[in-house]
Amino acid sequence: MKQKTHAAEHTEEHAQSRSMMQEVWRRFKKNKGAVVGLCIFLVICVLAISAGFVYDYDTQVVGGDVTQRLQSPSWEHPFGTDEMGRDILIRVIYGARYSLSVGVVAVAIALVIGVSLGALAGYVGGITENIIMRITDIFIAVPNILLAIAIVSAMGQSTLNLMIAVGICSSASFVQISRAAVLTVRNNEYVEAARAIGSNSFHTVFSHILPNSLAPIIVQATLRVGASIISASSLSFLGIGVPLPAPEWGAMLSGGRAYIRDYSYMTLFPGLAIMLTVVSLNLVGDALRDAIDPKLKK
Amino acid sequence: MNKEEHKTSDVEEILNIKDLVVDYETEDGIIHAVNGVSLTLGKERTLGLVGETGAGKTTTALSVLNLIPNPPGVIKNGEILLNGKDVLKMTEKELEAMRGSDVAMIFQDPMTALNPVDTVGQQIAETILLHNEGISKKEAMKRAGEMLEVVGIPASRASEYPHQFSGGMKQRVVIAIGLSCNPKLLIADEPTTALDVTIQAQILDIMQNLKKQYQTSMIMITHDLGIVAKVCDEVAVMYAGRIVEYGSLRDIFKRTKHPYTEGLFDSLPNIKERSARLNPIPGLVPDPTVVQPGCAFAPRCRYATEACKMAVPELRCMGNGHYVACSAYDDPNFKIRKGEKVDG
Amino acid sequence: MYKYILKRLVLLIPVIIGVSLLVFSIMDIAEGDPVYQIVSETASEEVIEATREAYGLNDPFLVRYARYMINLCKGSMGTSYITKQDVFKTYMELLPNTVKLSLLAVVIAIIVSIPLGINAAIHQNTWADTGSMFTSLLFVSMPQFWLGLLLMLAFALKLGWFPSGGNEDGLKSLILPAFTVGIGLAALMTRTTRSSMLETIRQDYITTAKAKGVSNKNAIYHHAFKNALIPIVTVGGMQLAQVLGGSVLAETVFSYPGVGRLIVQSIERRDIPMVTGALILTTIIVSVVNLATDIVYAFIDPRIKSQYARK
Repeated sequence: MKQKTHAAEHTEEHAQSRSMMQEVWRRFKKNKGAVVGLCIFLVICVLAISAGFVYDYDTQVVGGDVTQRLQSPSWEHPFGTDEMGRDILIRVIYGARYSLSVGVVAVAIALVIGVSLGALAGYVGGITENIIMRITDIFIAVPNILLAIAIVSAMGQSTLNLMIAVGICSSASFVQISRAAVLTVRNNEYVEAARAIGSNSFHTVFSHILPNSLAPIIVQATLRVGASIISASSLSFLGIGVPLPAPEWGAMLSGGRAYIRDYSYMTLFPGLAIMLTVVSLNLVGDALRDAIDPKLKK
Repeated sequence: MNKEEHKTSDVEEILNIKDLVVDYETEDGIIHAVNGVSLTLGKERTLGLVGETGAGKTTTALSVLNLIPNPPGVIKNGEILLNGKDVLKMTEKELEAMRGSDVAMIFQDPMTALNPVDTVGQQIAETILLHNEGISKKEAMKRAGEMLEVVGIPASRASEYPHQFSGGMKQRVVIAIGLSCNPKLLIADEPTTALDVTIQAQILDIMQNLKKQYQTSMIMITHDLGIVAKVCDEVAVMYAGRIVEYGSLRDIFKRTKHPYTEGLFDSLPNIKERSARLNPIPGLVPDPTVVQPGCAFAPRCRYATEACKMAVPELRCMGNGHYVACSAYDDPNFKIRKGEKVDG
Repeated sequence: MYKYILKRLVLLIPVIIGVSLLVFSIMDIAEGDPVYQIVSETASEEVIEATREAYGLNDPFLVRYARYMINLCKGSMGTSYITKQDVFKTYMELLPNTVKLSLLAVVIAIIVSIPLGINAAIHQNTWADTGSMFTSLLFVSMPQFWLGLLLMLAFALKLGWFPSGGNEDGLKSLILPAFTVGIGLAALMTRTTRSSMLETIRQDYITTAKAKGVSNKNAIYHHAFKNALIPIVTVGGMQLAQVLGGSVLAETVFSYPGVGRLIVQSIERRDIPMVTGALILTTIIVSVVNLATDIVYAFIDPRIKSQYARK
């Protein structure tokens, strides 16, 4: 009998979440900014992926034609060329690979650390929760960028270490959000029902609690990819991010800085690329938040 | 005793609403909240506005203060004469002078009706300061304390914040704010719905006593027929943004005419016949975004005929200030079966 | 209230210990074997061992950390490998520059964001709202260092109104770095103010206030804003704290001698004592600012105030 109600609740819960997703998508589509943002983001993704096939890394991306150095934008080089004669447009397009992968991988790392710790804290409570949350407080107390600088300088400069550093810095916010989400869902009836029929804690967390607290986590993740791209490019700008000569946008801006007085176009396009990417992600994230919680939009 | 003999037109009118239409224009379509409501209220009388959630009661009440949130709310049509002056044509200055001094409102949920960052004394004194020129802050605070005493709260608590009060106490504070400038009309929007049953009676008693003391007219919005019986002189029953029946308390309770009003009474538990099942009105309140050609209640009405779906019935006089909007009365022999047991 | 502040100050101690432990251990990993910072790499085994013993480098990690913290309390955090200057003194010399920069940035942000945010909220879904939301979206999505470069290009190199770096010109050299930090902050706070105001102007007590005869303007600026201020102060305080530590980029772009640039330069030079010291001091300051925010918060929100008054 109890099993039966549980199963019924389970399907109902699934049906609910499916219709909720449809509703969210319907509201999302209504938001013009969100659709534009999503399109921009998809275009950037396509460019980033195809750049690997279209351009030759050694000759076109990091190797340049010195006779063509410091050319202002023209038909041949729409974004101009840099001090080594490399086409900036090609480098900006290729750079999307770094920014996107750093952003996405950093958030993935943050998600794994943050959600597991947050869900654990929210579900178990007690001393475990206290310890996790106090450690989170400490991570939040350190300014993000300084923490990332410290971690990269401790582990050594590499793209992977950059991802890890940015990821660790973002994880504290996921701990807080997923803990809060789990706490609100934990006391719902269907979770109590699942507990009452003796489903074990681990199973309860992963099959009941997490799927129902996903919404705020997804929104935060979308917005965090943008923030991580900015953090990563900042570290590269400071010279401790993606190692040279990779065409990372922040590193390109750092290189262009020396030529800002006479060749300002070099500091223009990589920055625009960062902004465009982050704007598109923020548009999508904001729209998702409004679609999930339509209270504010009315 | 003969309340029902007192025709509304005999006493001095304080409020006269004529053909009020209010829409809410939302992303998901236009919600027709109020569709042509006309009402009059005499001096020192109490009118009960009865109906289900979504019937347009609160919207009607907010219109009297011209406080429909805009956007999305739009008053499409109508006149609201307050002492002969149209509220909908008032300037912003006139409206501010009118609100709180001529007409005061008590809201449904005392938990959210008070500003959490001001003391209750400040909140009462604010009304007094706004509507009494030249009064000093100190004097206003003193009168705020007196108002608290009037509603049964020690004046010493004026310096406390809303979160330090219980729900019933907060509602007393809201009443004190409402009455602090001796309004001619008090609108109470389900003032006891959010409160415990034991507190409800206290609050109603306070309101009735004060209403007498201050000689105030009142509109009592409620879905509780018990409250109506206790405090009202006249009753207007609303359904889907329209008044479907209007009359004296006795007309409505003893000479019920509209099938919907009948349904409201039938769905009450009956202490004399505990064995009888409750008779809820079948179906749901209609979708307010859809305009129906006929009577909005027809789909749920057990007397409904094809004719009901054709045209919206007009209010017709059933004698002595008792009005009903039901086309069944085209047939002079029609009678509703109030109180009869329904089979099935 | 004083009890509350005292209690919060006491609670700050474990956070500071945790933060310094975190930074100390990260930098401990970074350092490699610190003995070679003292003796040359060609020194004999015996000399190295003797030096280790003399400098306490053989002690367990926690002992070294405890020693470091005790010295910190005395205002001594070792000397820089590069400049041979006292770390604490160097930091304290540069700190006022960063504080000036951060405060000016926050003042700019408040002056810009609060009117813009309120205006956007009360004219929701009009052009004024869409316009300011779109603009703030652009600035929120802009990396701070890039904004700094653009400002430098326009106002220092092309127009020549402000110096392009350093701090020799007093307030004039502070303007561009402060706007670099302040504009991004303003964009963020405009969004916070707007959503916070949207939330509060829908509250029942705003309708109550209007029903009392309070004018629209007063209902918004007194009743709604006082309530909306609570989240705004929280975000503002958090941001001030982040700015104090995060003005690294603006300071680097404009070669402004603040603690952020000190940290970046020290990292480039592998000046470990300087980095460790500067990071620990910065996070302590950030924690104190966060505490101050919480206290201001309690003063605005009587619910929190009385909660602590009772305890």
